[in-house]
Order: sequence, then structure tokens, then C-alpha cells
Amino acid sequence: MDIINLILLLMLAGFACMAVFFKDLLRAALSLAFMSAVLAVVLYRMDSPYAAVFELSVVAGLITVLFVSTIALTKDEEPVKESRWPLYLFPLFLVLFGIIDLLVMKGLFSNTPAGYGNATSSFGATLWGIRSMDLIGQIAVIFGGVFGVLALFREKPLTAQDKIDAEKAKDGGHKLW
Amino acid sequence: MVVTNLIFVGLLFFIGLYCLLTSRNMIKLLIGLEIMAKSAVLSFITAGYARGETFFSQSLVITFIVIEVSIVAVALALVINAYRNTGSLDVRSLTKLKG
Repeated sequence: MDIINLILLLMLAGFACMAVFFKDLLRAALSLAFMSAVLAVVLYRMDSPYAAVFELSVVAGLITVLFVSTIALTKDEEPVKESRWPLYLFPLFLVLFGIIDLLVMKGLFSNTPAGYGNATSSFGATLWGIRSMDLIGQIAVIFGGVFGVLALFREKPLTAQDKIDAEKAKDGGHKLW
Repeated sequence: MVVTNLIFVGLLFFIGLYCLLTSRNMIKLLIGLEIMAKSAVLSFITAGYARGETFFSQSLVITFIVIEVSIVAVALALVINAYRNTGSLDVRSLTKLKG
């Protein structure tokens, strides 16, 4: 058994628990970022350096920035009241699920059949050759996300009266807000 | 290594699911979703590593990460809009919305 891999996986589960049970949202988001960083190391150790780089830069970096920005924009005067029972029952459920998980995974995947190996000699040839159609889907998803965010933050256009009021406010008239 | 990874895939998925089922904060719900997404990434890479098809699994993971980022961006924009409407991050406040 690979001890380093086991330690990394335990760290992964530990950071996941911290992200779930921290009351402070900022700390939870940072735990998620650390979890991504540890996952990147696990991926790198499993001969997947490109996926590791994406995990580290996009998920640990960009998504953390998105989470922190959202937390800063939604300063809650009254924090959401969470029940305490999920925290107390969690270890019990985790152990129960862990035992079932161990039995199922060992039973199903202890004799994984060998695959056919990599179809090409490089990752670039796979991504840009065999899986090139995926890139069209990726572009569509990126544009879908961009236009989705733009549509959600769309503002109502100003009416003629609003424009007159804004001009008055600029000239030192009464303030609109 | 493969079986150990797959056991942790299940555990991570359970932790994320537990967060989704028990949390009331909308940002926490997204964090739970992210944890489940990470378990999916680990399972893809483990499968590729076990069968010696790491290039193929990496290309799938990169596509998955792109989709994940788009989903999180749109979901966080929805959270901000919901917060502006209700003044709270509590997911139960969304049940009061009309229209």
C-alpha cells in the first residue's frame, strides 16, 4: 500500500469535512481550495499532470476567487442558523457508509481488467486529435456560463424620467439615493 | 492504490451529499456540490490510471472542470440575486418567492 497516497487521501477527506462543518464561510471556501491543491498532488502522482495543473489553477484558483467574491458581496447580517444534529450524527453515518463503501469497492474493483493503454503517444494528440469534438462542447459551455451570468446581472434600462432625474442629481439637485 | 482511491471517492461523495442534505446556507450547498465534483474527478483519473488510459481520462477531466466552473459561476450569480431579493442566504427563504 502506498502510504503517501493514503496520507494525501486522508488529508483530502479532512479538508472536505472542514469545508462542510466550518461556520465561517470564508474558512470553508479556503478549506475547499486546500482540498483542490491536495487533489492536484494526488492527480500528479497518478501520471495525470495536465489534469493536476487544471485542478490547481482553475479549481483551486478561479473557483476560490468566485466563492470569496460572493461571500464578500453577501455579508449576512443574520447568519443562517444551522441545526447542530448533522454535526453530531456525522461520524456515525461516515463510519457506517465507510464500511459499506469498503466492502462494495473491494468486491467490485479488486480485479480491474487491464485496458488497452493510451491510444496515442502524447496527451496533446489525444486532446486535439481523438477528443477534438469535446472542445466544441467546452466552448459552448463557457459561452453558456458567460451569457448566463450576464443575463442574471442584467439591469433594467433607464426610462426618460430616470434620465431627467439623473441629470438633476448631477447638477446638484435632489439626490436619487 | 486503485481500490483505496475508489473507497475515498465514495467517502468524498458521501461528505458532499451530507452537506447538500443537511445545510441551509446556499453557499454551503455549492461547497457540497464542489466536493462531489472532486470525487468524480478522482474517480475518472483512478479509472484511467488503472487501465493505463491516462490521456483519455485527463481529457475527460479537463472537459469536466470547464463545465464545473461554468456551473459554479452561474450558481453563485443566482445566489447573489437571491440574496438581493430576500436579504438572506438561507435556502428556505426561496420558498417565499412568487411569480
